[in-house]
Amino acid sequence: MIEVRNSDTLLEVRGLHTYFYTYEGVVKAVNSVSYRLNRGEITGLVGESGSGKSVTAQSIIRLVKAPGKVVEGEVWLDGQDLMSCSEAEMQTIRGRKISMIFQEPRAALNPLFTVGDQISRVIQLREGCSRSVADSHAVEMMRAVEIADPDRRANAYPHELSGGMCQRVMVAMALSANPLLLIADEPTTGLDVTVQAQVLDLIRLRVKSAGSACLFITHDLGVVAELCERVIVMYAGRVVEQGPVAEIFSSPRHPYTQGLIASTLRVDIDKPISTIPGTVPDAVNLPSGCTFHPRCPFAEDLCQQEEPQMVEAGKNHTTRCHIVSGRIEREMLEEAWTLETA
Amino acid sequence: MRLLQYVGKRLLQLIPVLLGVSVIIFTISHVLPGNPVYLFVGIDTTPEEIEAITKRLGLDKPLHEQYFIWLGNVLRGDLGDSWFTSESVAQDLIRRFPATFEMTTAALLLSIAMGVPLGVLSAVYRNSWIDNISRGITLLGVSVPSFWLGLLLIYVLFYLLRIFPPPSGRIGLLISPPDRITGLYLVDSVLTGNWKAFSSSAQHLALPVITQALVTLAPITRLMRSSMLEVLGSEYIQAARANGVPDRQIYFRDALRNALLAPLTFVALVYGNLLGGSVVLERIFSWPGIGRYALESIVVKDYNAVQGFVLLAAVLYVLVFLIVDILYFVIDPRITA
Repeated sequence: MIEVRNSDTLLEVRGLHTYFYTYEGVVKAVNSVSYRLNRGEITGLVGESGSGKSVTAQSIIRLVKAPGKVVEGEVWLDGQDLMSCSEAEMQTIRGRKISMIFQEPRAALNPLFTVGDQISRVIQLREGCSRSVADSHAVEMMRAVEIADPDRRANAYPHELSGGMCQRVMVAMALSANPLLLIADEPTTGLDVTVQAQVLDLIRLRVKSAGSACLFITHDLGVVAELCERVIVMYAGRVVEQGPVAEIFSSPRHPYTQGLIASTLRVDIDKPISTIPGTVPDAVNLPSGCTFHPRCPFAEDLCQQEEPQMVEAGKNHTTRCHIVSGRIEREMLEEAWTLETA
Repeated sequence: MRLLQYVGKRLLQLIPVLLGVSVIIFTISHVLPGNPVYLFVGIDTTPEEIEAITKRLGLDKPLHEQYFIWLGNVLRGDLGDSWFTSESVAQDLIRRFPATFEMTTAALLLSIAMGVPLGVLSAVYRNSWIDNISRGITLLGVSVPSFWLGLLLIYVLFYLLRIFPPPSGRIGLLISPPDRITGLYLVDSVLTGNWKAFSSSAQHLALPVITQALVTLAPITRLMRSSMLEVLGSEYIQAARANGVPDRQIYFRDALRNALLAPLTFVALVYGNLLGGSVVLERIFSWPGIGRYALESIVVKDYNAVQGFVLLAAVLYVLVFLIVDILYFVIDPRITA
């Protein structure tokens, strides 16, 4: 493949396949996923539970838990292929070039150490500085994420802090590295709305000012619309559509994306909320052809027989659908979604 | 300060527990069938004499009064006299307990020193050769009864290979024990600089300790392995990895401390049981501990001795758990006073 790299591209994932080898069979959690993240941009990664969002992130930092394994693919970060790094090199990339914020802040903090200790430890590892220097740096970071009274809170254990406070600690830990890439795996689930907004602001501020990139994993389309420049939609381990947020929200091309948007509660438009019929397919026995066809209101015979390829749907906007590619001539009506649930 | 407060609170809580234990022990020995007076008297004793002895022993008083008299004696350290050794039960127990304590503590320390690293290694290198070896050892430890293992070790290591001395007690027959300070031969011989006694008692200690340790090692290793696996799969370990923490630190700093919490209770349980004396091993190795004393007392219906032994075992059990509770308090910040 010829190297075509945009200078703005920080991370490029190419043909990533991550499989889980279970007793029931091979689960293709991430199946031929490719995307790019640009510097200074926040990219939303959306999809239902089990669509492969989190595994994509774990694959990038090469921390997929057994029995999962990255079987194929390249991940280029700033000109370096992470998939061909040694484990020792990878350890120096994690926590330095790439940081991660986890879904459940309290579970992601070690219960037996104070939060200040945990931030300081990560700083010591990275900078090789003394304990006292790292300690004061940790307090600075806690102040930077607007934790009130950071000197005192640094001596608190995770169970003594609220969920929102723990999430700020995680954010402080992740941002203390000034990472090139920040991966945020549903960082706001379980937080109340005001705290959620504060955490999002922190992330946005840091990404914009540092010129790093952020992969923001969520199932909350509202957050994506608010925060992200680009969005990637995943379904059953595949990317089904990706493009600029404004375009995807105003004219989604893939039926699944349309369904997702139609099922989001909006205050500005007076219409009933719809749902996508059916459930996410069984990961071991994925449907043939387009994996979405059993739930798609526009599906035809071809969708069941042949898997659609990624096609252009606009500027920097691609999708996987036989209707968009013109293989099937048919109109996709927005009413299809409201009719389905009526 | 927080610690002192916690310890104080726990000590206060021990009072009702121990009172409860004393009631149970007292009740059991008094509902046993048979009149203990008949153990004192001959066949041709007149009813008047029996009444007189009953009165002398205080057995004519109401039960609750007898309990308080007994409790008062116990609190003064008087557990009554043994009818078999004709010495005070308290003295008997004090003389024999160090033997049990020395053996079980050494065995427990050995099994922890081996079981914890073995469990950690089998978790870290799951399904590798080291995990399989540890699985083999623990399977043997769980399935082989201790009396058989003890006899086997005596046969191989003493009779065939002559590595260790015969199972003749705590020290060689021709060597005099060290002057008694703590009653623990190893400690006393070090304190008095008696190296001959030290070497002999260490050699005599070896076989029973190895036997006991192999039996205790098995569950500690399995528990440590599963606990470590659970911790290694947790979110905070994944997060530490994502922060670039090297494996070695993950295992020994982040994971180990968390993984030790679960086996700790088990170790306490085992230790509490062992301190009551291992009847089987003390018998096989002619070990003069409290387990053998209890066995002999039961055989000759020496009620005072049995009562004293059960009381001591209960108190030891409670103390071990007190220590473990304090350890938990020190290790785990989530536990509050």
